[in-house]
Amino acid sequence: MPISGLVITIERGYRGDAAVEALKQLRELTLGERSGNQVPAALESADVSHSRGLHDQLSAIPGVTLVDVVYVNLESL
Amino acid sequence: MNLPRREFIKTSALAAASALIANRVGAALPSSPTASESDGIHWDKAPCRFCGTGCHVRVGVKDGKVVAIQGEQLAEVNKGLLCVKGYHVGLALYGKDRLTTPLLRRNGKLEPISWDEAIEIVSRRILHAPERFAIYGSGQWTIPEGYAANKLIKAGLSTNNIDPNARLCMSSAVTGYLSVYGVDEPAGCYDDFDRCDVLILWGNNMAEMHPVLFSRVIDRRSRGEKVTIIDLATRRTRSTDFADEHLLFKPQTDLAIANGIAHLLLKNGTWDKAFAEKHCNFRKDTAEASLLGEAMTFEEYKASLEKYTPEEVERISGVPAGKIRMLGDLFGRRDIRITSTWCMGFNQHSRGTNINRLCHGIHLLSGHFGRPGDAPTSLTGQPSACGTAREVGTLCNSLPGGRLVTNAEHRADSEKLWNVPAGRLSAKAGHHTVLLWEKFCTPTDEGGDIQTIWVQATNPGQSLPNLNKLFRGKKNLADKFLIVSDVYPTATTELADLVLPSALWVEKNGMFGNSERRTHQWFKMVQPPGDARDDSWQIIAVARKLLDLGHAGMRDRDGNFLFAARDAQGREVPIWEWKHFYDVNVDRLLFEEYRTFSRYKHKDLAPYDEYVKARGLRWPVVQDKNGSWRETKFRFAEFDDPYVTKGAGIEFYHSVTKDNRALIWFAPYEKAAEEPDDEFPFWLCTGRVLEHWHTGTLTMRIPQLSGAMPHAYVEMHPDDATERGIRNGERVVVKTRRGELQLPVWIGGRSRVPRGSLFVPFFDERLLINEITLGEPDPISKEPDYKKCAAAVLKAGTPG
Repeated sequence: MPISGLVITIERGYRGDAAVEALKQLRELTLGERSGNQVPAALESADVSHSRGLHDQLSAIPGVTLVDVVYVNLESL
Repeated sequence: MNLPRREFIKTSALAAASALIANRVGAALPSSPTASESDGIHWDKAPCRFCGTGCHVRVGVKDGKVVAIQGEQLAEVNKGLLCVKGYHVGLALYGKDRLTTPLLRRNGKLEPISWDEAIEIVSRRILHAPERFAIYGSGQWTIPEGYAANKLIKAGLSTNNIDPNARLCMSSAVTGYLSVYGVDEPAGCYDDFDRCDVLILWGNNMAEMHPVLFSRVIDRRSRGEKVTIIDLATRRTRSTDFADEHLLFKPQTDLAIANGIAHLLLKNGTWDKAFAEKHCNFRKDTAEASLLGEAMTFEEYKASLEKYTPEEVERISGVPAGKIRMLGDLFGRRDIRITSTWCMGFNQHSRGTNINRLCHGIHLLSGHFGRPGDAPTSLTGQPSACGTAREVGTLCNSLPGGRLVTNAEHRADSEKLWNVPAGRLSAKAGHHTVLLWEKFCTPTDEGGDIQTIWVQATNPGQSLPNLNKLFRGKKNLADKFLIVSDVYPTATTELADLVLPSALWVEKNGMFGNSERRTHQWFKMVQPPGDARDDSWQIIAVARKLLDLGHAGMRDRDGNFLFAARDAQGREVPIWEWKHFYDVNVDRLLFEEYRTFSRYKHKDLAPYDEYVKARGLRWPVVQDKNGSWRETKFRFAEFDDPYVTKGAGIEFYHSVTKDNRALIWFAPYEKAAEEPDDEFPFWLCTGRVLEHWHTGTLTMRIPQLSGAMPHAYVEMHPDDATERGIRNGERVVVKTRRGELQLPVWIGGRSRVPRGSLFVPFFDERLLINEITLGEPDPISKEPDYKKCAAAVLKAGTPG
């Protein structure tokens, strides 16, 4: 169960707001408190390929500019 | 993993992300932030093991194993961010096939032997013919490792038979800096990316190769700042997706584009006359290419550029004349700051020195120099290409701290610092990388004067160009002997006669020097597996064995061992015995000795313990009156560089012409060494991808990375494929004058090549593209061109 900490950068304005709403729908994602155009998140995935797919999915959400990984726990890998 | 623990880790991950954002908006940050302090995980700092960016990571260790990685928020380089390679760096230690014991080839098979036997074998090979022994090192060596190897070869064996793999990736940048400023490495630093109005990527796919630095730029945009990105490239890449302008040029014609910009600055009268007249001289190459060339007048310089009109540059490069004018206009503006950056596109170039010179030249001519954000700044690909190869001087023509082996004063100075007898150092440069391997692969009685090579921390069996000639040629030469110190089996160990298992990254103490002159330090955090040992221990153990066998060069002028180490009480510690190697901090001892070399070229390094406290410091690091140590962000500029004379503003104090001026060079556009023709109609370019680092020795063993990019491929334009009846995913034969290789085609893949071009990454040891690359070297830097040769593509099974 890979777990990583993410900083998700979103666009300003309504597209960014819509992106946050879309992020909230992902059950693998736990969102922290938004600060400006950045949202902290913890991502929990079933396995490596699931994790990769989720990253691609996050990056493809309209209004998401960047997905940066800042923490990875390797214990279960 | 049980549920409470998973929840705990999720909370830690979220806390790390939240803390990073808080840091960015200026909220208070704990002095040593960690995701979790109460989790049984011990955290410490280290630079990432991969590229030359020099990101800092926090490494979480539990029960003797690296279990977590976090971006270091205190690090100025990455401000808490990591790329996909960086956050998996801990897994590089735990591939299933780590080398754990020395192996000797007997009857064609590698068999385990003891370290004592291994050290004896290496030492006797050296003793038998020291002048025919060479070390092939690495920009992945730590600074102390490279320093120890350099000292063994130059101060101990009195030869200069040492060269690093960095010769293959950045030596053209070195010769560029030396011939323009008289001293190596960038004047600016990464802060330029935070301050520039325009960022020009000269053949540099920064989004994939230096993604964290690129994030710094994109992050500025997300905060509402305007940063114009211009992507000058021979193919579309991920960087192109973020660019305001994508200028596609024909390979090799960057020389013409740079001249076109200089032409326009002069023609339009927008060059910075005051800056150039006060701070620059003009230069051109001699008939035979040379590092320092010869003087030319401004009028000669101007006349040389006359033919590089926008229309002529368009004809040569394919970039529309209007876009060349756009670049000329940008450089002609005083109200913006321009940063140029480059990496292998410039350096792995048959005229690599010249294109480096020209890029510096347009910045100097236009006065876009010496202010934060206004700079020509090269990037490197290895974590210590700058620190260990360039600064320690592990090149065959260098001595530590920017000195040259051919300079009598430099040798005398080095002999004094090393405390070896006068005349100990050889004045004859050794073989540069390509020649070194050519000599090794040539029969001894036919002039192959290198018989034994000891490779550390690199994989030439995959990374050298034209491999069949420069590496495989060793195969049937019985008197040649290849020693390889590495952490995993590689294409190089396949031909090795002796394999030595090495410690990796946080399995040892270390120091790296990154692309922006920043020196990093870290401590050993976990034990290496099995009998793997530090590369610096291996060097010192061999040196000691040579001393015991009677090699006089292993003693200094007072009769002491070259690598004598003493503890705090002054007692000698036998660090050549593994059980005593960590009784003292050998890194500290080697670094403190090395840093005495650093002041000659004003590359001053601070005491070791200052780096323990810091997340890297950029040289020159000088001591203030209050005793504190201060780094330098911007060299040659009075506002920041302590070595610039007060009132001078800008001062190039290592000037080639000894008048505090830099050199603006003219160099013509010249065709590539091999260009497409009827038989080989494509340009073949090679390079890296985001997920893999260089030859993939580490990243191919990380499932997350190898899974994301499992094998090499050839990218081609869909129209070229259609014309040949080639479908996406189909295997094709890529053929050059040096051989052929079967690869799957990827159309519309990671990058988009133009018609007539191919791109193949070199990370995959099962698909060795370097078997067929040309590798024509730059005449000055001797760095091979991996970016251009002529190739053909055939459907597999088609008679070629």
